[in-house]
Amino acid sequence: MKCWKCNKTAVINRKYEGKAWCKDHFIEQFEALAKETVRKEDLLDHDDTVAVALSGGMDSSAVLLFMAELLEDWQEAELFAISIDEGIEGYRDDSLKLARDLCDELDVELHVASFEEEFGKTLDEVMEDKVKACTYCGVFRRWLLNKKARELGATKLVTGHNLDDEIQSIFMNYLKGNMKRMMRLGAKPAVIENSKFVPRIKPFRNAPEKEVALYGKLRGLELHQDECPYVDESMRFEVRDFLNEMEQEHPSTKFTALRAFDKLLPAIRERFSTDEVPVQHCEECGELTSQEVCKACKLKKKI
Amino acid sequence: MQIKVETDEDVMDLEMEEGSTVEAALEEVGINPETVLVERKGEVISESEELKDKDWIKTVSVVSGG
Repeated sequence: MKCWKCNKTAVINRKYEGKAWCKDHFIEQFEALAKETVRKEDLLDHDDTVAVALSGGMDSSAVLLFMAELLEDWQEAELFAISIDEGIEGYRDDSLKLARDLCDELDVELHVASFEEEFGKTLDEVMEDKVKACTYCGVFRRWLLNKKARELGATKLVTGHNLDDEIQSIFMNYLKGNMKRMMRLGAKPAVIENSKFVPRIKPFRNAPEKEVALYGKLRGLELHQDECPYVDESMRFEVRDFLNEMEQEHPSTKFTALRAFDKLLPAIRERFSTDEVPVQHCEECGELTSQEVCKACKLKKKI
Repeated sequence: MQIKVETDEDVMDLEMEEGSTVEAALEEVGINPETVLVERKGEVISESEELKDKDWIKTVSVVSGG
């Protein structure tokens, strides 16, 4: 199969648009789409201090590479990366090495924050109490990323979330009836006007997971394939498999579903406005929360 | 024609008709093309690429695993 634009061998056949692309034209198309997301969704300001949440996995590595090149000519913008070391032996060590190597290569400063330093225990140690890992890990990681990004002066926090992540979250929240979480989705989630909150942005939100992996691979990034030993997201995996089957049988299903959600999102936000969530400071750590004591502090007491 | 499909766990031998595509080979071994990249001789190829006799293709999983 040949590229739609030139005669070179195609690396991908995008059934959802009926076009195949060679390596060079795919990279061009992919970056153009991500730039369009940044522009249309108004994700960045010219003088932003941008932190990229970098796990060392393909999505976050690819988004760091993209951001480093995008911001190269932005005179007033600054860029650095933050990695969270949860303390998972044999898993996080490898991906942190990839994160360090990539930052060295791109000449981007990397800051590492660990669960052990912040919460007094590694995730491996937390797991000795046989708790549900993803609950702790997710809450602690989000809490720490925001805190670290803010302390380092970031005005935006970039994550590598892709189309698949986003559409899976939409379906999961719908299936669980969680409207408050649903309204937080989007390329630029609803702004919480508070100096303690660093807005998160997702430049790859319109890019399918497979294409992010292809982009990273074609750009020479190493694919970290190890699976987290504690992963337990059975519902997400069921939704993921269902959506992949639908996409295979009915190309563009994921895009169509995302576009439909985007049309609904303003109405969802208006109806379930963030104003209804009383944002306050946690009595114990001072971070943002909708309750008196934030979830991270509540979980911290249990470990 | 004879095709080999290599995954993380296994290498499978397939007997396929001339003109079969990568997608057909993946279907034969129960892999959804949405979830993998496919390489032939170290180069990524599209799922619509036609296979040749004695081709050895390798799948690389792209789905997030936590």
